[in-house]
Amino acid sequence: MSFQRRNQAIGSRSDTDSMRNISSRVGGMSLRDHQSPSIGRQVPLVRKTPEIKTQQVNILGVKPSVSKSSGIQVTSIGSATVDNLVFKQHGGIPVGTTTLIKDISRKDVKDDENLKYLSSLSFQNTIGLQFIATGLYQQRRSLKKDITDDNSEKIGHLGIVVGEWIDLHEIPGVYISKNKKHSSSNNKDENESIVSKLSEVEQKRKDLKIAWRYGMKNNDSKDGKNGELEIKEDPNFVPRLDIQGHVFPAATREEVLQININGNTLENIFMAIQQAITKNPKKLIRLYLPNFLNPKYYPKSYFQHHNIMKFLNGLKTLQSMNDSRFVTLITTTTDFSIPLLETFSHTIVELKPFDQQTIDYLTKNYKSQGLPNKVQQGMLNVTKMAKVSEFGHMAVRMNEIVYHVSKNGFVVELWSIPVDAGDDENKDNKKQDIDNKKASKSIEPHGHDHSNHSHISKDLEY
Amino acid sequence: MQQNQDLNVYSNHRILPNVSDKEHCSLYSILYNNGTYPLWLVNKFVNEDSQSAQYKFTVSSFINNNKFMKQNIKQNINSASLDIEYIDLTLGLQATSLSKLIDTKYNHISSKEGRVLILEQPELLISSMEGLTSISLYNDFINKLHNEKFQHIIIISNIDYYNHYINSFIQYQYTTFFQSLQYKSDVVFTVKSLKTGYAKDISGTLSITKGGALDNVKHTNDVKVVENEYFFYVVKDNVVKLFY
Repeated sequence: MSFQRRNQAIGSRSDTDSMRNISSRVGGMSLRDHQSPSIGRQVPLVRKTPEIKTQQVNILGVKPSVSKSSGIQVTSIGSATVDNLVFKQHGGIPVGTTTLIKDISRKDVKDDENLKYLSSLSFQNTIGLQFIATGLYQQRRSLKKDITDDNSEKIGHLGIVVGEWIDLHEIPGVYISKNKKHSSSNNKDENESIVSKLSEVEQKRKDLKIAWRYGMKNNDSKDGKNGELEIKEDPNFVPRLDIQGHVFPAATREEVLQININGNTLENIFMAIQQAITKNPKKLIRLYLPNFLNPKYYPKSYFQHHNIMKFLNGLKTLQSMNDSRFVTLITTTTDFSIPLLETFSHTIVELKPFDQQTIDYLTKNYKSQGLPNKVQQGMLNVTKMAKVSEFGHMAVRMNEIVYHVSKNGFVVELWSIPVDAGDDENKDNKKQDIDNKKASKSIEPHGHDHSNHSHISKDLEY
Repeated sequence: MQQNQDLNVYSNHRILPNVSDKEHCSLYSILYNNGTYPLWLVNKFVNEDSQSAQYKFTVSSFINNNKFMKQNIKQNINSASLDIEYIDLTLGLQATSLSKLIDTKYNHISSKEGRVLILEQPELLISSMEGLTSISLYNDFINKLHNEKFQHIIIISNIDYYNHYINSFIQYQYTTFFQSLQYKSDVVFTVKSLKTGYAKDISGTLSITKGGALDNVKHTNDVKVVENEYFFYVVKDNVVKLFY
C-alpha cells in the first residue's frame, strides 16, 4: 500500500499542489501511511529545484521592453543610440523577431566605376559586427564568476554568422577608456568614406581660435541637449564598443558559429542553424545574415525563389518555436531586396546615404560650427517595427533619424539641419585654413586641445 | 477630437455580405502596404456587423501562425458568441501541390453555408511553389475553396509585391494576381499609411471601393456599396477610430 503511494508521488512530482491534496487525503489514515508519501515527496523536491531555477535563469543582456505591454523582452543591437532611437518603442530589438536592414546604394556616385552596391557594404557590416560583438560580450560575461551575485544561472549568447567573408577577427572589442593608440592601418577600411576628410577638417579647425570659441559654445549647448535626450549607457545591456579595436582573444567556434555559403545550400544552412539551436538549449541565439543574397557572395544556385521562400518560412517557424531566445539580423541591399524578405521580417530599417552635395554642405556647416564629427552620412527610415506594426500601430518613421559611423560604431541621432554658415565667412575660413595649415601640424593632439578650450569657454561664460 | 464614424460597406449599414441568400457568394479583398497591418479591419468585420453571429469564421494565414492570429482576431467581450476557427497555413508554404493543401487543411468542412474564410497572403504560394501561375492559384485554390467550402472569402494581401516594371516570371504572376483580385472582388478595401510619415493622431487612410465582380442584380432591394474614404487611428490594440 505504502509502496504504491510512493510511486504515485514520484509520478506527480511536477505538481506540489496535487501532492498536498494526496497527503491531506491520506492524513486521516495511519501514521505509517502518512509518512511514506512525505518521504516520496522529498525525492521530487530535490529534483524540482533545478526546474525552478531554469525558469528564473536570466539571459544576460536581455531586459523587458520599455513599452508597457507585458511579455516583450528586448536585447541590444549593439549600439545604444540605435536601441533608443530606432527601436524607441522597445528600447532594443524584441527577442523572437527578425530585423532587416536595407542599404540603398548610392547610384549618384558616377565617378566610381565599381557598382556601388557591391562595394558600399561597410555600414551594414558595422552594425552587424556590433550585433555579434554584443552577443560575444554577454557570452564572456556569463562565464565570469564574479558577476553571479545570486545563485541563479547566467546564460550567454551564441552568435551565428552565415557567410565566410565576415572576418571573425574583426569583431570589435569593448571600448577601453584609457586612450590606447590605434595604428593607422585600422583606418584603411574607412579611407574611402568621409571620415578621412573629417580628420583633415579637424586639423584645420584647431588653429582657428576665433572660430573655435564659437564652436565650443555651440558644442556645449549641443551637449546639453544631448544630455536631455539622455541615452543612458548601461553596460549590463549594451557594451560600449570600439570598432577600431578587435576583440581579444578572438571569438571561438563555441562563441560565434560561422556557416559557409560556398558549397552549401539554403537547406543545409537551415539545418545547421537548427542544429546549433538544439545544441544550445538555453542561450540566446543571434543569427546574422550579412549581405543576404548579394551576388557578390552568393553563388547562382541560391537564387531560386521557392528555395528562398522555404528558407525564410522555415526560419520564421524556427523563430516562433524559440521565440524567447532567438534574434535575427539580415542586411541586404535594396537593389536585391525582394518583397519576400520584407514579408518575413518584423522590423524593416532603410539606410539612405546622402548624396555628395549634401555631405559637402553638412561638412561645411558643421566645420564652421566646430563640430566636424557630427557630419551625418545618411537618413535612416523605419517602415515596419516588430511588435508594433503587427498590431496595426503606426510605426513608419521617414526622414527623422540620421546615422553615421563613428569610433564607437554605428550612431544615430535625430535629424536637424545645421545652421547655414554664410558664404563670405566660409571663404575667409578657407583662406585662413590654408595659411595655418603648416602651423597646425605642430599643435598638440586633438583631445587635449578640446578639453583646454572647454575650460576657456566656461571661464568666459561665468 | 474627431467624430468617430461607423464602418459601413453596404447601403443597408451592413459590413458583411448577405448570408441569407444561399446562392450569393462574394469576395472581399483588403490591400495594404508595409507598416499598416490591417487585422483591426478584420476585427471590425467580425465584431461590428449586426448579424455576425450567423457566420462561421475561419482564419487562415500563410504568414502568421495560429498563436498570433488567435491573439489578434478575436471577439469583443460584449458581443454575442462567435464561431471562429483557426487553420494554420504557415507550413503550407512547404507544400508542393495545391489540391493536397486543400485536402489536408480544409477536409473537415463539408457545407459552405454561412462560412467566411479570412485568408492572408495566398499570393505567397506563387513564390513557394515552383512555376505556379496566378491563374492556377485562382483556379485550383481560391476558386475551389470558394465553390466548395466557403460562401464568402476575405483576402488580405500586401501590395508591396505589385510592380509596374515587370522583369521576371514571378513578378508578372504577382502583378496579375493583384490585378485580377481587384476584378474578382466585390469590395476592395485599401489601407494605406500616410505618405508624409508619422503623425500623432492619424495612422493612415482606408478607402472602400466597389470591385469588378459586384453585380447589382445579385443584391435585392438596391443594396449598394457605399464608396468612401476614412482616416483611421489606432488607439490601442484593436481599438481603431474611423473618421473623415
